[in-house]
Amino acid sequence: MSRTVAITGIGVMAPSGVGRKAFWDLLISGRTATRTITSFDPARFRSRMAAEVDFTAEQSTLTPRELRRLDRAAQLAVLSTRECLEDSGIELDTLDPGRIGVSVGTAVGGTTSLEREYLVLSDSGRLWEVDGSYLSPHLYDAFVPSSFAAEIAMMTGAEGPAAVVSTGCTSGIDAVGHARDLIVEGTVDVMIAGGTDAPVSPIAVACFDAIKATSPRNDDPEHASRPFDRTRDGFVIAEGAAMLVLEELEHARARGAHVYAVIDGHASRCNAFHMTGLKPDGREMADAITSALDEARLAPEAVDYVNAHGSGTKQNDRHETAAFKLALGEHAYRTPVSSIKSMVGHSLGAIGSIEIAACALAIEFGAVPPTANLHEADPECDLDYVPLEARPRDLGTVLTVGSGFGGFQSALVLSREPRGVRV
Amino acid sequence: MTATSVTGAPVTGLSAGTAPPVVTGIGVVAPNGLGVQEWWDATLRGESGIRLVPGYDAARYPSPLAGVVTGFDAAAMLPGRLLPQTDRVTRLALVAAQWAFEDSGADPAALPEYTTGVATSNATGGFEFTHREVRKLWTEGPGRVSVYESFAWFYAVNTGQISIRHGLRGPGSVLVADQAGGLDTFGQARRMLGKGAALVVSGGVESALDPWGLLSHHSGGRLSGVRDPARAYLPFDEAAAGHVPGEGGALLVVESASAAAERGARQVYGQLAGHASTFDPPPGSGRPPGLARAARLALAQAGVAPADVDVVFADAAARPALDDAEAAALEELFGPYGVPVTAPKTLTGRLTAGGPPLDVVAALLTLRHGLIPPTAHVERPVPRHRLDLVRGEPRPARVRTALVLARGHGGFNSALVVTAPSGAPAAPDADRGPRTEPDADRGPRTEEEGIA
Amino acid sequence: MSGFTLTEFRKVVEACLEGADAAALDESAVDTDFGDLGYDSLVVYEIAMRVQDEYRVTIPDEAFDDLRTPAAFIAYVDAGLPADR
Repeated sequence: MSRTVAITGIGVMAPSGVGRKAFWDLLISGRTATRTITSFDPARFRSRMAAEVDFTAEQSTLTPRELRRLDRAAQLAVLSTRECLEDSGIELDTLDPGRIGVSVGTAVGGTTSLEREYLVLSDSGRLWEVDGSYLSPHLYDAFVPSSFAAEIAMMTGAEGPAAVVSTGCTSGIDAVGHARDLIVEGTVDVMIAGGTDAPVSPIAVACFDAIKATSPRNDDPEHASRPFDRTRDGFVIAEGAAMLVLEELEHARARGAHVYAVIDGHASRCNAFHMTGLKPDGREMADAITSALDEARLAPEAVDYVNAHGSGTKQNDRHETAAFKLALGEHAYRTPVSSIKSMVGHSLGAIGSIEIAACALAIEFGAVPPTANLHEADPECDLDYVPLEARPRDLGTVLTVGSGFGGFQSALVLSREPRGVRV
Repeated sequence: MTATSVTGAPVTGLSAGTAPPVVTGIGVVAPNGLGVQEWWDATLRGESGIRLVPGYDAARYPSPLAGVVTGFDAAAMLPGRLLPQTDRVTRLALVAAQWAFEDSGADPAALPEYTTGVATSNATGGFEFTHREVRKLWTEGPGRVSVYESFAWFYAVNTGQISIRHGLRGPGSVLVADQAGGLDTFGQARRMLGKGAALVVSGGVESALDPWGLLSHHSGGRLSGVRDPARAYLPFDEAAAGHVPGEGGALLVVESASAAAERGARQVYGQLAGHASTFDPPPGSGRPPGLARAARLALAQAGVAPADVDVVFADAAARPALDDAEAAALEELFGPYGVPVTAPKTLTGRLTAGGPPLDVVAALLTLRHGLIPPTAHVERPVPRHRLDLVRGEPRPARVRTALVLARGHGGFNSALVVTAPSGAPAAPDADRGPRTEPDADRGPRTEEEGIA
Repeated sequence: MSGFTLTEFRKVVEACLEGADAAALDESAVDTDFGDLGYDSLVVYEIAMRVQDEYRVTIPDEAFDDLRTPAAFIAYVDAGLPADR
């Protein structure tokens, strides 16, 4: 008998607000959280904007020790985990810990801490042979980002498989896909899964400046992230985290858990083309979509909403529009497509999980978040991108996709539960 | 018939009657050998790649030794256009992947599109590259950061670059679990093959030995401060004082058994028969660590019992408490002195996610050649560990089943079961055997070697 | 008083490509599209970054759409050299 994976808890630390409710409120409002960077002085950078989480670690519920040892990305993951556990109502200590696992996506890991510590160890870059007398014992946890998974495993008592999934900008979607695999194959019954990144740090901002991937519309930060718009000019970097409680469906039903949605399918492909470039035809993303739908045993026509990668670069939005048409055929023209990166920016390894959370909430509340800042669609992007305003819609099945440096192309399918007749 | 896990839950996928995936090609980049033959020969001869880290004054640091890959001429081995955009770690990985493909004889272009995948593990990224770029940022300004920084340093870089170089458009995976990720990636390869991939390049390569990388390794609190390369990394020894980090690793071509047979693969090194990973309980919980359980789960997935295991490639952390815990797990599984245990990694250091793939290669070659490589440098095994530690000369043995163990900083435990190709006896291969003669008859074990 | 010519351009390209084949960059190649020369957009950005730094010429984002060949690039930079060079 095949096993089904349910989302029973959602925790979100996203730009503009702490918690799941603030996140959904932002998405439905169509407001944006993209601003001028506050965490460091961005004056000398080409793109000076970010979507930051309105969260001061010292004012949070994190303990002094957690504040000392956890990179900001780990902090976001811990707080999201607490929320998703509470949301799900699951009592982990009544379960066999060996049947609980952890899967956390991150693209840049402890970059913020690494860069901060670098300035100390190198004396502001003066020393190539860095000075060990200033060494922090917590540096290792920033050096090797699996510390994020270890932290979540320790706080939840999980003793099943734990790992970080780090496939660049598809980390967040792939970490949840990986968690799904572990439940379906019978290795575990519960996974704490999601993604986190806190990349608003000079080196990350500078590296995207160098390839002109981020928007330089610094005089208008609130409107800078404009996926699918003719005037789009890059993404806005962001931080954030979303963590989910994934449970085998019978397990969830047995304890009367609330089920947001079931994750029906996930697939990943590589475009094997270029580390940052995309071919316009979107073939590999299309195949990931088809494969995910096949795993879900759903036809393209079952898709009621497509949550796009929609980073807002010239090449991406064109690439994935082509992928949607290739994979969904005519149905692509009838299906609302939107990008929440227009509102919460692009948080790299976290955004895939944040988008899955948005999809689950969209199913729960029967509404499609809009694409903010979309006033004049690019003629090459001619689908229904839900401009500016959220749209009420009963959603049975939602498709979300991701695309990342390294050529990664991923797709994940979620459906309302019960789903109706399965093929 | 559906196999069940030790907890009784159904385990779907590969173990439900399908033959395990097979390794058909190997590429090794190690501190004591470039290429699988050179590395295996050096390992059997006890030649170490551990030295003072070159290129800067490493002696100023508390743990200045590492397993260093020498003689690697990236410009001679890779297309020029790849050099500016790759850290050393990716250069090593690309060469290892190329060698693995050449060894396997597989042609990805001949396989159906989207059925060729890449699954790697990497825990430290392109560290020296990013060190240079971060330095430029803070000393010269943001505008001087390289266009390649956006992808040369992140953990997914090896999977991405390998997929591009070899045209592999199937699934791509990157797992990070400190050292244990180096075994988890093979579990991921098994999963991909179970879901329809025909071929997956899998393994891991690491390199982070610039000053900031070396110091970051040290910050984990587990490095040995001993400055004699032959005395620094002594797992299971009375003088165990930590490990030595290193660079390098291995990439393997892993195929479904049917795909390998269909294309007439020139060799099958062995089968990846079972994998499992666990995480340790929180400190103070009173619950036991998870290494033995990971081993049991992997063995169950492989359909073998502990008594069937012919050799264990140990995690070999070389800190007393960690060695004690591993020895206890081995005794729990196999009984005192119950199975030969070895750690050829004393000649390379611990290569983070690159280490376990190299151990898997060691296991496969042990199967093929009937020789267990020794644990070099260990002279005074801790008696209470009650391990049959293979030391001194390589030990001839009929090996059909090997267990590889790996632990990662933070509490990660992984186990992989490697078995001989089905139907093949374990025997030395005349053409590809080691260049040293195996001992014809080693004789019975003596008291001095640890039998009570 | 020196300008920015193919010679200077080649030096910058050689530095960017770490000695990888810049030999193809002779007079006959100056009107060849960068893509056809095997220089992807990242390489062009890297070349531009070095040129901006070494020759104190500003190359704004909008300019890149027109800088598709070595000849176009060289002409643009030469025209934009600071007067005191």
